[in-house]
Amino acid sequence: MTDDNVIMEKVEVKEPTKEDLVAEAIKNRFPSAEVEIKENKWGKRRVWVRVPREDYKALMKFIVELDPEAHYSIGIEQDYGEELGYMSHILINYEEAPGVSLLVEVRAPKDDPVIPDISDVFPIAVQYEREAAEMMGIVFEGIPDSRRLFLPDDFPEGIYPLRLDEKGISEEAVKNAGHPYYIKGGAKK
Amino acid sequence: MSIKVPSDQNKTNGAASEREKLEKRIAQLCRFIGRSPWVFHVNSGSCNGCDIEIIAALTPRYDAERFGVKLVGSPRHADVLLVTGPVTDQSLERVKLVYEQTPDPKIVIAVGACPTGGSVFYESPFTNAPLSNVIPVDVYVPGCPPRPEAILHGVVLALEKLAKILKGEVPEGEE
Amino acid sequence: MTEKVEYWVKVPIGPIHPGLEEPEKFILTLDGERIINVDVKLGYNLRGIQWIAYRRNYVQMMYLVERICGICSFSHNHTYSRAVEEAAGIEVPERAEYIRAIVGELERLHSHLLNLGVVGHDIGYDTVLHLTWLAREKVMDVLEAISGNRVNYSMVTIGGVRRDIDEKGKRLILDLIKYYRSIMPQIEEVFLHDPTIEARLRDAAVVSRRIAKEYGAVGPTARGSGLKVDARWSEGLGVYPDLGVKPVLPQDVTGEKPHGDVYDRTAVRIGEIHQSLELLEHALDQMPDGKIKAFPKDNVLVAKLKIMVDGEGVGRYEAPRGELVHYVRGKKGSDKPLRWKAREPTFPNLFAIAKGLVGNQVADVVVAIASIDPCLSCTDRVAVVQGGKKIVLTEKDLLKASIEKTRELNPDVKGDPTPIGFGCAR
Repeated sequence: MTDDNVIMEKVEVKEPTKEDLVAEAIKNRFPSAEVEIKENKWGKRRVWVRVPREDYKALMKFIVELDPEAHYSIGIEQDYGEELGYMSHILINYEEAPGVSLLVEVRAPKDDPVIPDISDVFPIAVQYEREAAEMMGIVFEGIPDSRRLFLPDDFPEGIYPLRLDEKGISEEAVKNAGHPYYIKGGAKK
Repeated sequence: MSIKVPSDQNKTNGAASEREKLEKRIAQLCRFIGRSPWVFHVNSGSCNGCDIEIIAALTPRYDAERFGVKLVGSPRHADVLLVTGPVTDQSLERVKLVYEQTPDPKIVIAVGACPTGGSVFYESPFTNAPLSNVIPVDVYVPGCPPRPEAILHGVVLALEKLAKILKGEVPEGEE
Repeated sequence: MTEKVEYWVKVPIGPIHPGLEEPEKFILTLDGERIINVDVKLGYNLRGIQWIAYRRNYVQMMYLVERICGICSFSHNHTYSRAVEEAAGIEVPERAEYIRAIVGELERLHSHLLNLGVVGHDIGYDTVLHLTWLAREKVMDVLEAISGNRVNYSMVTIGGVRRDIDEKGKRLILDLIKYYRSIMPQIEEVFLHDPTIEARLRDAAVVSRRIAKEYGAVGPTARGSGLKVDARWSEGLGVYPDLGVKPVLPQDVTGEKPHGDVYDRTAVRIGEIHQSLELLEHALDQMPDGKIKAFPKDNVLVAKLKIMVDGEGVGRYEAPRGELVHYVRGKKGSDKPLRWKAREPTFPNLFAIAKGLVGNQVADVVVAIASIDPCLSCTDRVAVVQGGKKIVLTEKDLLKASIEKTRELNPDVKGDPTPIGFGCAR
């Protein structure tokens, strides 16, 4: 038959979005990293990457190669029970809207909480690492400035306020301004 | 300048509003004591909501400056201390030091819900609310943040207390 | 011939200083009048919010998060709600998104006018402080008419907004736009065209583009140095792409290349005031009708969140000072978040300005810090002093008192005063 009667099947060729390109590049270069793209209800997609300790610094250098104007937003320290984690949010490719939102996580076991330091790649990261070191007890090897950031200097050593286990703040140290439900002795639960 | 004072321009009834009564009372107390109070503001770790309402009380809309109330730069010149914020651990020493540096007779006003009872930070290892654990307090102005008129009302109560300290009696309100 | 002995002096500025609103300590190393190094010491505002957040459920966290900062309290509320909505997969109705954009722009207006006044005060022009704060009162009135309070207007809830904007609110906002358009020429004349102020603010505390990029500066501090970064634009947030938002750079306002000094940052703020007025007009035109909450009944919110939140969520928004980031992680079956962290925009800006102050004079320190707009910082409980004794009123007493007052004012009120929702969950 002639070509006019043949109905072409519409194959949707989706252009790879910026997030897909970035995820592909990271997966190809670091096969040991787990990369996932999650999309939320209003259509914004974020790239979540989990990488082991050994490749962490190389991944950060690779991200700066992908976009020299990469913007480091926040460094979040977490307590997962058996492990401690450190998650960073980085914004890249934002010359045109919208930019790519990238979250990189690295974990370390609690009896060996050492994570490589990335302040030569992102100079502002040293302040977030100082906070993670004093609040959660993570040790960053190679950090240039290891003073306390927020806690007063006479806060006792070895107590990490954000840990959920025995090294956290004990119930007696909590000062209660006298909430009427808790007038007797400290805070409950 | 064509910047007009908003609202407050439709005075519908002839009765004096609450604010006018407050203003007359402040003027009367200042005349009675013989001086206007100078104010020093101490921020002991607050979120700044109360601080901007304090400064808004001195700007031309609420205008406490026409009674001579002004913010001074050193506690040694001040009569009244305005303290905001739940007293954090690191500000504890400084608040006490500022209190000792202010000359007598002095009045301490705790502005906001934070120094009164801790507000949402009542249960924390780093705050020391209420303020009366740290320095003796004369007037509490609760609110989160309190309106500038409420802060002026607190200043009226402070002036009455000052009148009692200095002259031994408080004048009756003029009506 | 005597030899000249040079030595460096360390001078602390702060924490309680008449030029700064908040306690923070800057230790300057000086050589004569010139600054060699600035060291920032923080921690005076440490209230332990992340620690407190381990013990609050999702709805109580909203009220805790609002009080992190008093000037940008709506931004924190909004960003936290977005992070929880992303973790739970809740969809927000469109009218609620428009109302969030409107209140966000009103907040930006009041914050920028506040900062212009503070910069004026710090260089010695007290009159400018009084006049801009007087002009700001119009926005505070409109916010009070819409939301009920001048500061800490908790308009946003998880899944929508709590109050609607009716016809009277719309008329007030249109009045406000007309009023501000008529006084902006006077503000521009003071800050942009006055030769004395230009001589004072030009080339003071220069933050170069390289330092702004390396130290992750955000907000007007970064845009004043030429970086094109704005979280509403780079995130594609809500309805902002429909309203047409773009980052405002100094060359749009002054017409010259950005130097990265205090003058440029002030110019960016003035440009943003104009942009906010336009965005308000567009939003009021395009706002559709519809419902404003995803869950119409408030007391089902905690129960639903217990089932729906399973995973992590990140919220990003552009507060008046810069990009604000919140992170929430939750697990199914618990009504408390497992981990919450926020990063306020002043944190990287402080370190960027500390580098930018090197080489300047001591007199510029206060105006430099004011130019980045630093904002470092259970109404269930009221303490009443009656007759010299302190009484504590709890929520039940306040509710009873407010019911009595309503009955006094209007004996035929038809509302039902039994509380919906929960009281203190403990």
